[in-house]
Amino acid sequence: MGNELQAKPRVVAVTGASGYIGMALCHYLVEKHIHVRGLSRRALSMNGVRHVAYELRHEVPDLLLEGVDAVIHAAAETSRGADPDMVAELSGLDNLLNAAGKAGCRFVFISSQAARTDAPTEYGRLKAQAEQRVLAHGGLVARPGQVYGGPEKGLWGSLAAWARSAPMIPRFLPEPFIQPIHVEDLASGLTTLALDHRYDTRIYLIADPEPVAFSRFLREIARQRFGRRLLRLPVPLKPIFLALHLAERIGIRSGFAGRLKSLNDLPILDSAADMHMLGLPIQRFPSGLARPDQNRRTLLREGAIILRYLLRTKPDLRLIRRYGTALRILGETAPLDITALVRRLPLLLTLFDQPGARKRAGEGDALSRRIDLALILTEASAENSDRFLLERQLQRRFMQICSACLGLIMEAVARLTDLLIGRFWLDGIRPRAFRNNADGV
Amino acid sequence: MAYDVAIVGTGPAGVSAAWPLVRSGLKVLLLDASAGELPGPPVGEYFELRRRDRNQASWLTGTDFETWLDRGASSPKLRVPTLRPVFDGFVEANRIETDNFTAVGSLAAGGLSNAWGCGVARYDATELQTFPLSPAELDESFASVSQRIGLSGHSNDALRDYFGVDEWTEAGPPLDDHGIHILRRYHERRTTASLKDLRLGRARLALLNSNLNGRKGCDLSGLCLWGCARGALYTSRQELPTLVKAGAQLRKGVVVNHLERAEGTWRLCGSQRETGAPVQIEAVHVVLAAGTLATTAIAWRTLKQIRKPRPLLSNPTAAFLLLFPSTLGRAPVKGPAFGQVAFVMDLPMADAEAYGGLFSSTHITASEFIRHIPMSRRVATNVWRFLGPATFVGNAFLPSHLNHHFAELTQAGALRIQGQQDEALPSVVKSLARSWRAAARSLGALIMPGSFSIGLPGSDIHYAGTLPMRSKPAHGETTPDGELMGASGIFIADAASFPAISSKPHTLTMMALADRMAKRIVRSSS
Repeated sequence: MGNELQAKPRVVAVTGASGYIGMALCHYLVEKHIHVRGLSRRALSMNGVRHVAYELRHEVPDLLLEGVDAVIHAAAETSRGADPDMVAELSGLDNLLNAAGKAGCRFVFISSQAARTDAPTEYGRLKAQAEQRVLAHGGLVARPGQVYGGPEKGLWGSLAAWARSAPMIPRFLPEPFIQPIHVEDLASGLTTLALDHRYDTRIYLIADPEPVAFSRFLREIARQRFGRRLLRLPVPLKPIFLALHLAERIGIRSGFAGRLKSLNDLPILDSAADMHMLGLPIQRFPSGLARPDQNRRTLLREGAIILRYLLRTKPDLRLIRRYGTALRILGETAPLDITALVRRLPLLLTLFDQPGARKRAGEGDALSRRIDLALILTEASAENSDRFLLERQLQRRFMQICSACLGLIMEAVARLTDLLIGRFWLDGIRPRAFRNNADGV
Repeated sequence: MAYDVAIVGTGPAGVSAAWPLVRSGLKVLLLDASAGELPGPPVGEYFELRRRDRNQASWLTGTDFETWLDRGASSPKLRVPTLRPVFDGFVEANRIETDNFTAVGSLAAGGLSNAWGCGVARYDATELQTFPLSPAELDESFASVSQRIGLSGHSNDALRDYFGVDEWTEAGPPLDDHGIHILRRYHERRTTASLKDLRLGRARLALLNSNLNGRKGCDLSGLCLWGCARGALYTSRQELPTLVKAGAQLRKGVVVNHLERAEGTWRLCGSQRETGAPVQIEAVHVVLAAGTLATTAIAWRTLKQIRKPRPLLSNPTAAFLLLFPSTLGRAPVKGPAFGQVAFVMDLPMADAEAYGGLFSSTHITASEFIRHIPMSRRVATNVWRFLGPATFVGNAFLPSHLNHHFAELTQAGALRIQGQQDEALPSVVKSLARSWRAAARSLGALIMPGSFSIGLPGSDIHYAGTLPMRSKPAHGETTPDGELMGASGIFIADAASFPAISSKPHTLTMMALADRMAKRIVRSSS
């Protein structure tokens, strides 16, 4: 299949090319040496993509799809924000379907997991209608799950923004489940559907066959992408629905209610067979969450915290870099899951560095290893030699000795804390290494 | 085409055997498995470098972080980056399999002497009792070896007779305050009851105090652990150029696997270390000096002595920390990193004695100690900065009968070593600790509580006794001249031929035995 894609240069038109999925799709196609015609309202500047102005609400110019092998329709009507004008979207779709029919190219429509004729939202019902029209025209329909990963745009962007700054995560009861799909995996699947003639006209389900609780999804974004550990706050939905319902009765309409309901009502996509056929997923949740080059940055930040703990002052950049390099040499690329409090107050690592805590954490404990590694690196740096060698000058030496005494007092407090709550609480929140991204699990 | 003698290994045993052979005009080939040169040791003074050298990580810790993180109770030597190539590849190249045993050896030019603490002593009549020769037969060899390598530490102290080398020994470089203090206190109070089991003296070392043969005398650089840039500490590698000048041939990068009999000669069968290409060399006599483990494997493969376990001798080890409260709070100063003070402690419980040395702790990386302090690393670092300069770190070698290691050749030709320590070892170490605690008090010092620890089996690297010399040797044993029974013409020059080892450093005795053996070969072939 991959060879077929590369056999001769093909042209794929992507509508909504400046959107979240559209852009990722363009990047993917360019990478696969496929010529891309980017159709969007906003101008695009992307290497290898020819931009053509396109407006969903307008007529389709005759030459728009000339020489195009396939159209992937990723554009969505967004002029009314959260409550899209579905009528406009449907008419835009009709125009495009007709144009594609005239040009004789394949058509792939990106639908929604919410698409159902009996969906609780108008959005879901209209998406279902749109699907029917596409199928009637011999097009293919892709129903993606919850798309995530890559640049923070679209719904994914809002979720990421939430995970970056929110103080906690709502855990709705009953818990909604979503089926994640990495945006690059979706792009790969869509490209296959667009160009491989073995795929017939029908609905394809592109989502991880295994659903993930929505609150876990958010929590993993916070942890893996932003290194934040957020608590989940249970939020019972029933009273909220009731309140929203009452509000609606007295005339206050809210799109929010429908979206919340829709989230809670998402049908499970039985996507295993389609995913298998498309050779997906390549990146399973949550491994695709990391930002490019983010791991190294997270590791460097982690190094700064651990080194600061050992040094009691801000470590120099050179040392932090050596920490990153050492971890790479050791093949340990998974960052430690360090809480915000410890990040702000590295001194707290004393609690996890108690001999008892180390012993309970076991031989291969990542934090213990990394503290030891940081210690070795620190010792081998001239800049920090005074941390290991008493000064010759009397006054400074006196200060060093005083600091050792203070350290002992602090150690006593830490030991006592470890004895009191180490086993019951601290062990549970001990910073551990994330699952290794390189494993692809 | 065939050499008169091929010597496998360029460590102290191989080089000591080579000199008499080369001098007699025989055609001698020296073989080792070294690949490339060893990295140069750091140059300068230890604390100066620690405070100023921005690239000290390259020699202090290197990039082999695993060896620092996953270390057991093994010697810091094994982690020194500049010494890594000394040990690398030995276990794999010689096909050694171990169970509960740390097997250390060297493929490098100069072998394990590159990482030697340089402790020298002469086995006395009692220790040579099990050897099938009279002690006087070794006198000449002890003299010639000692003069060749240069010894220091001459001192009229309680260990003078124990070491037995002072007739060839120059005065040593100055000791640091702790060394001077503890020796003086011992001298003043040696009749005290708590010191009756202890003998203390200057360590006798293969260390130059004045220049010799192009090597420079010790300047107290404090870098002994990393390899001496001045060559003050002896390694047999230093002798290779002069041996070649004297007529020896040197071939590097060859790993010998076994020997085959050819017509009137022996064929050494092995491979090129780098490429694995087969190598065959013919020689009339073969001297095996590859280090006990490698020598044993080669000998047993040659004799096809498969699945016959034999005891492998080695000394259990212990380590401890000696604190001098009167010097607490002092800044570390330039001083010696070699073993300054040696001790012999009687162990009435084991009917034997322990030998050991005392070293300045500050000349070893702090992380070696910090991880043993039962505190968070942050506070332990702070505490060690304060304590370290007021301490000596001690090592102790215990009698070999407290180890029960066995070695055998597997069907596939690998050397399998099963390590086992005697059940009594922990209690013997406890009694040693007790004796030291009492003695330390009389010497104005303290044994740091909880600091006495037992080393991993095999980490002493004092392996011996697999091919013991006997007056009536059986198959697989060696004659008093070191010739291997069942393979005439093959001689064992390293400690594999020792019928017994004591806790005393045995390298010098091994070198003397190799020297004597080589002189016998010269005599018999002329």
